[in-house]
Amino acid sequence: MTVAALTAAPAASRRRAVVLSILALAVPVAFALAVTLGSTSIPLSRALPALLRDGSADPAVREIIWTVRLPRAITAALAGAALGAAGVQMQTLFRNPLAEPYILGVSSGASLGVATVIIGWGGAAGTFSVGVGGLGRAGVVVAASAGAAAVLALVLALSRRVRSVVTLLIVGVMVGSATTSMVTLLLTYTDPQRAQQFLTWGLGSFAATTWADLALFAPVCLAGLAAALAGVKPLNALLLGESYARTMGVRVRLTRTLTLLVSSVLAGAVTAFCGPVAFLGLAVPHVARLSLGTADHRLLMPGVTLLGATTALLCCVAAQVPGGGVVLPVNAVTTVVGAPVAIAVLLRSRAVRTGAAV
Amino acid sequence: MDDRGLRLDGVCAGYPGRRGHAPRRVLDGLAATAASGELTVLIGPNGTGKSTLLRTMAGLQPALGGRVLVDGGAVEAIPAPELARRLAVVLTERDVPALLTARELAALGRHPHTGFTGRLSAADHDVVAWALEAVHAAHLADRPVTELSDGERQRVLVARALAQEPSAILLDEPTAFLDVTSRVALMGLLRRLARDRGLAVVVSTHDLELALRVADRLWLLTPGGLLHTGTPEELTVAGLIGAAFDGDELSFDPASGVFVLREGDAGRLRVTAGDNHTPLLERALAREGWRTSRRGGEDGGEPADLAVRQAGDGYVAAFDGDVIPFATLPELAAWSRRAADTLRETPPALLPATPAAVSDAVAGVSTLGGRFALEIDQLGEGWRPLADLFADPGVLAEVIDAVAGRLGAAEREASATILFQEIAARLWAPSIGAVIAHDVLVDLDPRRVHWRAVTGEPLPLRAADLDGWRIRDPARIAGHLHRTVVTELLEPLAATVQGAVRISADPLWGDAASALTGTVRALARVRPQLTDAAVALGRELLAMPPLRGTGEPAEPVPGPLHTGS
Repeated sequence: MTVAALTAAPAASRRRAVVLSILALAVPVAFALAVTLGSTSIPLSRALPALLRDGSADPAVREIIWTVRLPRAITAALAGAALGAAGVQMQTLFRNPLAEPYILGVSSGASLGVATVIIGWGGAAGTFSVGVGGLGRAGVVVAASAGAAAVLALVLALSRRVRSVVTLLIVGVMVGSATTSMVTLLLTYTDPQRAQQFLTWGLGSFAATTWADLALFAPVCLAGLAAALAGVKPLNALLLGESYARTMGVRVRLTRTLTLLVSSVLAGAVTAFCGPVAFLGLAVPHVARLSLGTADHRLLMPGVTLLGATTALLCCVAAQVPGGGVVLPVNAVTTVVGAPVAIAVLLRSRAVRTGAAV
Repeated sequence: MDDRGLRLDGVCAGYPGRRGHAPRRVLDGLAATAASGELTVLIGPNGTGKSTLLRTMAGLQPALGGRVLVDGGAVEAIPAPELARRLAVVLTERDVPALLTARELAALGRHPHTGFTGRLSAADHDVVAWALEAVHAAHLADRPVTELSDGERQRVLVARALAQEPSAILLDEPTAFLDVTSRVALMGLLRRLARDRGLAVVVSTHDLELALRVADRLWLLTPGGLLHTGTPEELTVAGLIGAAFDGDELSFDPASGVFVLREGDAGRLRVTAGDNHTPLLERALAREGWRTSRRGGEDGGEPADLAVRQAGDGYVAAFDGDVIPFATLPELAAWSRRAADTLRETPPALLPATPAAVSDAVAGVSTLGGRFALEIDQLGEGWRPLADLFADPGVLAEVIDAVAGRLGAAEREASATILFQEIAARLWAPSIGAVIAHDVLVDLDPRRVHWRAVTGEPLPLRAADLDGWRIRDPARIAGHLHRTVVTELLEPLAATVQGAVRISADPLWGDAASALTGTVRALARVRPQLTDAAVALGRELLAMPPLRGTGEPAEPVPGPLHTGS
């Protein structure tokens, strides 16, 4: 997409080009930070040779970077981009500024899928993602996506009956709670060690993926992102609501199904490998919209992808508490970033005050 | 046959049945055409299915029967993107997304014309710019739509529909929530777009009066589910508008094309005011239940219960013998509400007469003889209001002296009684004459009735114009006549006379009574057929204080007055 294609005044389109350029630069910068900062700080001068597998590199540094930092950073970047894109899709589909995978209980649905697979089929000890049991990693991703899609479809069906933003939020919380309690029920009947693993996973982490996990996670995420980017045109038509979209020639049912499918896969995949990550899907689209100054998905979708990756990378850095030797759960960081955005959106929303849909 | 435009072909609209329930047919068998280049306005009372029909026409809900044709093609048979290039809509949803400029919103309308990515070509940009220009929103292009006024936003939504480059546009209540100016402007705009672009524009609205003025063609949905089509004039003449919209309080006035309050039950009203002011007064009083009486005709129009005229900066109301001034319209309106209540309980004894009726009565009475004469004419030199006689003791003293000089009598008391009797006779005669012979009570307002000093003949009386009343209830006329002559004129005059000369009241009222009997006798003489009525009225008046018990009248009461035969 070129700047010339944007339907905006010169000043506005210049601003948008600048913001997109900054976001595009921010991703490698944040990526570099995620690789160099951590429990031990590795300067770029030492990290770069290790990254390039230069013979002169310190083997210990090389080990850290290749087995820990690089997978973690790639996971964070992909997860952030995926959650941002899924958030935009849900917000437009629901015409609700608070829609996002975590709040709507979609992540809980994915958790239930994962829990069913893990606990139902059992798994080996070690890192959680290794213990995917008999169905393999793909099985977990499919289970998570299916759980996500089931909850999303349920909430969407309910949202067609209730038009209030806040009511939908409450419905999402209720569905999420119900799902979580089912997970708890499953955990009660499982052996304590595996339950502990599951609980740790539930706190969210970008650090638990191996290259083998990434071999599945990356293609699924990239495919989902590509599908999301390809689907921006009907999403734009949906900005005015489904009736308007239909009169503009959009096949609404098909668009809705495809969008639900893509956002379920994105949210499900992220949840399968990183646990339920809170608020990124909510905060990133809003910040992207405000900084780009438009709701046009042709700009917004690339914008959230870049901003989501950057934000997740920075949260990942913050979670490692550079130099502190402590690792925080990712959700602790993302919630600190995302909850204020959610509150600000709630307070600003005219539709929330009037109790109507956006 | 020209296929362009929209056509309903036996359309049945409603909601499909669910789980064994029969479909709910809101409208059935509709047939109508909305031609290209014309503004078609869909009207109908609430709940008749305007939105349902529009949504069915737009393909947003399936027709339960029949076909909606756009440029000859059935809506349900045309693929969605192709339909979007033929038919655009403006829906009632007023929520617009934040962070979208007017230009971006209008550009959404290019959706059916762009490729997979939605990228706009230079030609697309030109169409968007044209669409904004067409709705006079080019200057709003870079403003966020959430910051626009309701009217501006609605115009941008119309621009979005135009950007689809359709051949027909449907708009559901686009003028709802707009102020009057924006409403008129938007309808005018739609009409112009229909003309200039050859679009078939179908717009629903609640604003019937505006619809009647701007629509090329009306589609009128009745509560019974029928769709009448025609020009506003055709539907009006056929009485269909009134039939569909008349309510308990308002009714449609075909001549003016507006709704008016239903005719009130308070009474009939006659307004005399400037051209611009008359309708305002009539409308203000209509709210209090007064309906305007028919004007003109050979009989001078329908009689009114209440007459209101503009007088200087204020108003004067005439109702049942009372003439009341008001400084402002609200005061008048508030009073008229009480008057209406009074009227509902008791019919008035008097109805305000037209100036022509008063003049006719006065002229007729004047033919009875000199003592009955009262001229309606220009007031020239030497004419003074009757009020001067009792408002200014100097004037009265001067006149008494003139009478004394005329009679050559030295006693001013005698001159004063003679003068009083003379004036009483001049007041009784025209007023009783008009009551008996013409059924009109002339309001002898002492500020408007003038006299002139002459010698040797009855006191000349003249007025430029006089109010008066048509007598509706003769049984109650004596009291009103008594008030007009005795209370308003003779009593203040007697008081002033008593101030000028030492004289008791009794002889003065004896003089007044004999002036009354003299008038009755004179009337009986010139109009024998009115004798009974005149005598009966005279008796009634003589029974009222201060005339009652004044002793023997100065002149003997004539036989008929005693016998009442």
